Amino acid sequence: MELWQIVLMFLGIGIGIMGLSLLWFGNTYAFAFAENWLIGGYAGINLAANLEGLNSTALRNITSGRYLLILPLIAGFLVFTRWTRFRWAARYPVAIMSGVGLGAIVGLTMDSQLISMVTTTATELVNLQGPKPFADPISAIVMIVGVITVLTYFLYSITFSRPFHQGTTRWISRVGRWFMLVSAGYLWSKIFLTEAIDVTTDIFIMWVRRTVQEVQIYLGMPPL
Amino acid sequence: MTKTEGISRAASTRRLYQRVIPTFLVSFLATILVIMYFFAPLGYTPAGKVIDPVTPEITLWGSIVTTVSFIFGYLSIPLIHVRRLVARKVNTKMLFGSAVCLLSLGLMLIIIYFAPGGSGGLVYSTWNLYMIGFVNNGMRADWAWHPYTSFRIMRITALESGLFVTSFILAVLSQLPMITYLVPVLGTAGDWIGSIPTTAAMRAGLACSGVSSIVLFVRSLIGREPGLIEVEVI
Amino acid sequence: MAKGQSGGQKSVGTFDEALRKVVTPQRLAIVMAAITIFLLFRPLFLPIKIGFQTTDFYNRLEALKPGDIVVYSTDTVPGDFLGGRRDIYKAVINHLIEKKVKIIFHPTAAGWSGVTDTIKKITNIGTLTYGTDYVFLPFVSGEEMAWASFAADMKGFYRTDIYGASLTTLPIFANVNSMSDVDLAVVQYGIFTWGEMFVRQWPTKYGVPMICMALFSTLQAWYGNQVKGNLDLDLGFAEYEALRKLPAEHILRMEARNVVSLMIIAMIFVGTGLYWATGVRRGARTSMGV
Repeated sequence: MELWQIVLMFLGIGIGIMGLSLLWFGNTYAFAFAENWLIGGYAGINLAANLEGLNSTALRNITSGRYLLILPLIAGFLVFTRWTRFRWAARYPVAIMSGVGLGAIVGLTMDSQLISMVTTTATELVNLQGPKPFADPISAIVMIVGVITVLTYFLYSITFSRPFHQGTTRWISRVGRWFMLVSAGYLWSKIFLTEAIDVTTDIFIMWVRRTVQEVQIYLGMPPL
Repeated sequence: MTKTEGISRAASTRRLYQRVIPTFLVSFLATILVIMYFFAPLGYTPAGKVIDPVTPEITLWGSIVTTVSFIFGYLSIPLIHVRRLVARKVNTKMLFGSAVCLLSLGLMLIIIYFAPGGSGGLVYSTWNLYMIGFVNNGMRADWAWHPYTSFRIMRITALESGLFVTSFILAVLSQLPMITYLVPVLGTAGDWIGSIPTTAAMRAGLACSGVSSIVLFVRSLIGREPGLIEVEVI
Repeated sequence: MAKGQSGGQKSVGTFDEALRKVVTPQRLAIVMAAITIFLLFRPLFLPIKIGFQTTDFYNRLEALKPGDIVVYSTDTVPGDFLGGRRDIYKAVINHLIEKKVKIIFHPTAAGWSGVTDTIKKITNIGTLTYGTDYVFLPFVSGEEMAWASFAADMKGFYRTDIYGASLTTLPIFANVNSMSDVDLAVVQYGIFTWGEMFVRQWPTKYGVPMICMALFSTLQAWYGNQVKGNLDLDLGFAEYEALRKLPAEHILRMEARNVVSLMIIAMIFVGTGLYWATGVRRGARTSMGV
């Protein structure tokens, strides 16, 4: 660890504290500094990385003989026409991205999100074994009930399925809602409590513990 | 040709190259990839060539176009801020923010292209760790709102809120190593909630989103989804 | 008398409302910070029980044989690798190195170029030979499209490695052309929507077993099928470090998580108890009853 690294470390903590000030002082000049500093930094990193990525996938391939790749390169640069009065030309690269993206996912979506879900759930029901590590019959039954009731809740709108939302079988949608509330509580716990605590802990691990360790190393003392 | 006929012919020509051709491009590329997915086997010929060369080629094209689009996006950021500084039509804080953004971007590019070792060197990794990583930690401080929000809204007042809160509490307890060690049944209960009812809801939700992806594909196939090219480009 | 109030109760400011006024986000943040900093320097060394996801992840790595091909996909940047995730990334990469497998590092984040030298410095990768035992691929954007193209034809997608050497000249790629030739994919990501993208393009299409270092909720629908193991972020990282007997920072984080989470839950119980005990019923603002 050298002196310039120590200086950068404390500068980074200082700017980070300016970002932290949002919690107490709101959107001040200090927060604006930290926010825009971060945006500019990430923009620089990503710009350079994408230029290098273009070099490795397009330019090197083209210079080694794959001349057809000039076409997507030209199509990609059409996106810059958005800065001009010929901005309609930017629809071509968007169309390529949309078409390729859609084609790349449709078949696999059917496989992974439809067929796989249905076959796995059906297999669990037939074998009366829930998913690992709860391979018991009750879990399998709860799973199939959950899948069917939540599917019913989502797939049938009130317009097309009165019985499932207003009629005698409206309890199916109700049960589906209960399953969704249980899953919402679980997801809330994972993201809004435990991960939030981990994020705030991370701040102090880096700013306090790690800083103390690095300064101790720099001063020749045994670290924490 | 009358003036009206001339205008409508120009409009239909414009419609052709501004809407019809891009929409056709979407459905053409998507269709090829779907056909190759269902009918072209994975694997190699005895000579070592991939049996389906179309899929990797077309997805490479998509990747190249995406990379250029990202470059456009990351060049637009400094352009917007430079325009803002030149025009000076906004308040002082925004002008200040733009100046800081350009300064940070400039310094980052200088380090990447001119510092010893470039983007693989010690200067870059140290700058990235402290001047970006540590600052990022500070910006994520607003996550401190989340535990407060949990305390604020979690009240068992009815059956449905009871389900939500009970599931929340059991799930939290199952993620605390101390609790799962001392009272293993609480850990098992929370894991069961995550593995069975939550997974059931997610499977159903994913199945529904899968259906919507297929619907989107079919609509784009018949050219009935102009939103794929027009919403993004105004 | 206001609607919902019983006789003899205060009309303004119930105990529950008073609690809400006392506990603000700023004060809660200060308490959390104080507890966390205290525990960082005076850890309680609370025990850790290993969960099923971490056990599956560990067993998958242990089942690897020398010479197996592993794709290690990561969105790490120097701020993560030298920062909060240093210990876990080092532990997992060292575990792969111990198993004598061949590692293809596949980056999905723009700051990757600053990480390669750090990997060489802090892990045992110096015991391996570059190009034969491991390779660093360059970053290319495009997300799912790029991963699909890479999986279909690795040497066609990436012409060269991060240093500019042609992939066809590297011995590690002698018999590796696509994801079908890979024995295990170790995938680490932070963006929630990436889970289903990876599941679609790699294990669903090519059958390659996949283990992850990501939030369980983003891939639990496929757990047991396409996804064979997972380190569920900080909890999983701490369990893995405990399993491998490498005490490190993630175990310290669990100390803070234990204490702060229990404090929040206690406050929720107190709030609910006060809500019912004071006998004041406000009209429900939502259909959920809160």
